[in-house]
Amino acid sequence: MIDRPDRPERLGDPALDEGVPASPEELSGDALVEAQDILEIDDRTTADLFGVHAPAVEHWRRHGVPVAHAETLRRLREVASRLHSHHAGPPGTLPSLPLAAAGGRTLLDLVRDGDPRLEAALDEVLGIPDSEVPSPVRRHDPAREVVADLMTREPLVVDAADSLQEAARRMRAGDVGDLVVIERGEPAGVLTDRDIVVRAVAESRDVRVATCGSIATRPLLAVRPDTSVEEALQRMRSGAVRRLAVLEQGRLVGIIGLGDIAVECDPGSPLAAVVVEPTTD
Amino acid sequence: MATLVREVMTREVCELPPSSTVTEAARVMRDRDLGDVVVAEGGRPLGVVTDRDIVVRAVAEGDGGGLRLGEMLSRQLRTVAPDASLEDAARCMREAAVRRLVVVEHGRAVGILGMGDLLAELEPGSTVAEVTRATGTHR
Repeated sequence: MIDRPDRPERLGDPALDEGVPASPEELSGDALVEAQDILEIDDRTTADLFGVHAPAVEHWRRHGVPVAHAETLRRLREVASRLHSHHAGPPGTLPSLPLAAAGGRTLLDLVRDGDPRLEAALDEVLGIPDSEVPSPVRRHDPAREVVADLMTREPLVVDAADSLQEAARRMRAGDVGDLVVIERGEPAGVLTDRDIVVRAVAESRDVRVATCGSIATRPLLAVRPDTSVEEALQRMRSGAVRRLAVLEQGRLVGIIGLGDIAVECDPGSPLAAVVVEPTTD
Repeated sequence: MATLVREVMTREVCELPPSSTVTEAARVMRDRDLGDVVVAEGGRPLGVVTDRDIVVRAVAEGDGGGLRLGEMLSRQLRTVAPDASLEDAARCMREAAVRRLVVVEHGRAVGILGMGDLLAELEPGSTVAEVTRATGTHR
């Protein structure tokens, strides 16, 4: 659980950009796939599929999708469009039904893994009367929302003994602004990009040598997946932090930031359309 | 309720010349609790450098803090006028995929509008706004 596979680098070709890159790391490197497939998929569904922040998906819309994700995304689009032609759920989403044809896995799981049972599972869903297919989109009700609804799953981590340079590389590669710091196998703190800047760079510390453990915010403030969003906000306020780790029976399962909550809280406001960069907060 | 950028923007703008180093920018961010600095020359804003920029451009490369701000301006500066509406500003942020805009009047930077400023305006009494203000950074 501590070590995670490297995320694919997301580097863009500036020649393809006619506008403004969201962050300066898109400078050179591998070509990206055109984001056609992403256009018809709900952002949160795509985010869940790849385990990224929803705003990272918005970023892909603009700059292209990493080559490594192209096949999976194509599969998602195909499944979603076939579903939509038969079911009235929100287009570009998948119902979160556990499916008998796939040992209880959901369509999203099967798409993610390229599971050969996908076709049979899809038949199963298509065979269910529309009224019995649960909508994957929860009715927006902030009073009842829980952390699990908004958190980013599988947050990126770094070891307390790793250098700040290593942390910065992971933030760049993963397009995130925060990392959970692991010490002796346990989540022990959080490290944000701002922390690196004000606690290390401003102090002229050597980032190749300074450790994450020396900079991280401790102790780790955490909530559970079933904690209400309101309570999570109170914890942030009392702890004067903008993000909390999410632990389930002591196991790190997510991270939730103020930005995740703020954008979700008022979908009717024109400000809700503002993209939260897939970085900090 | 505020409707114009000038009512919501942060008027404290730190400007540094392109020759300034990342370390200098980091210190300003620390001392003045800012998330970004405007890089300007002769009073003319050239770009913005954020804390994240420092991390992905300098720290990730093991930089000793000597990278100059002028070398980090790989993006076009996104600006907005003080009398623009908050909706226009939000749309501009979305389209540019940025979290802050430099507010420019007569060619000079007069403020910065960050997403945090917009969020605090959304529901001033809300817990979200409180946490945004209490954690004190313009992000």
